[in-house]
Amino acid sequence: MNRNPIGERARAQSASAAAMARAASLTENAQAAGLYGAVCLTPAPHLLQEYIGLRDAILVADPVKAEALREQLRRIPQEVKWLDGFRNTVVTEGKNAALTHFLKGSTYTASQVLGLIEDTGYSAIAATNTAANITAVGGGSPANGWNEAPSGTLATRGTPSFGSAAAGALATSAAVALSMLATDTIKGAFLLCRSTGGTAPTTTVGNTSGALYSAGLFSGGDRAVANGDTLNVSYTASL
Amino acid sequence: MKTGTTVRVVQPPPIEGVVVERRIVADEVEHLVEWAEDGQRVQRWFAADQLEEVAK
Repeated sequence: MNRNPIGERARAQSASAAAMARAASLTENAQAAGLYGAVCLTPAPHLLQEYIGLRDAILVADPVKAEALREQLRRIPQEVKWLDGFRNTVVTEGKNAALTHFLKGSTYTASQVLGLIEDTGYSAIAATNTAANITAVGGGSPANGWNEAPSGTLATRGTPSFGSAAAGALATSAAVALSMLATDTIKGAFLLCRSTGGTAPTTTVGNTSGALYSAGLFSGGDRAVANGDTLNVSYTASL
Repeated sequence: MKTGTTVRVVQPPPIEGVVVERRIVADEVEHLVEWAEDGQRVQRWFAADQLEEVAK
């Protein structure tokens, strides 16, 4: 028999027994969160034009030739311009899509793309942001409160791959390499996933297919990028 | 359908596309496959054991 001293708190064993007796709920919460990481790399100045030439050739080469060109590109040494790690907002549209596919999916193949937020027309990121409201025209008052970096800055969105989930988190297995084509000011990144209805996001900059899962801003503030830079972006989702 | 009917779940046809890039991550080869859905270009990385070659 448990004896609790008068005026003292109930022991843990007594407290749980009391909770069960009055049918109290014992809950474990899941809260969607995420963390982006970004590393900006650039070739040494004397190798910049060679790097840009190879990069541009890859964009138009067939897959076999592109593989050989990528090997040459990888051999050009890179220098770190800056590093950043930043938390994100997991938006409502993304939460709904994740719950639907996880708890109800029977015909689902996961698909995500990662894009960049630029500074033009920026006001705020909100939980109500959606993929349908994505704009990449660089104009003022974008529907989401932010614009995607245009195709003149980033030719195509990146395609992440994810490793193995552990401790309630799942991270990209390798950073997504995003090649910068022009001078621009980047504020952060966003991740798209399949919509609740199953529509996949595409790598086309400005495309509104899919669902917005998350968006976040660099913790160190806006970052300048230039032609020849590579942004390596990683993402860790957690529940 | 009546109770007792043998059924199978309707599934979309398997994704079929082209390998546009390969890389090695954590000693595993990954393949970037590109295909079209509703006329849009879609990509995803797959491990080798998730894919099989399609005879032309």
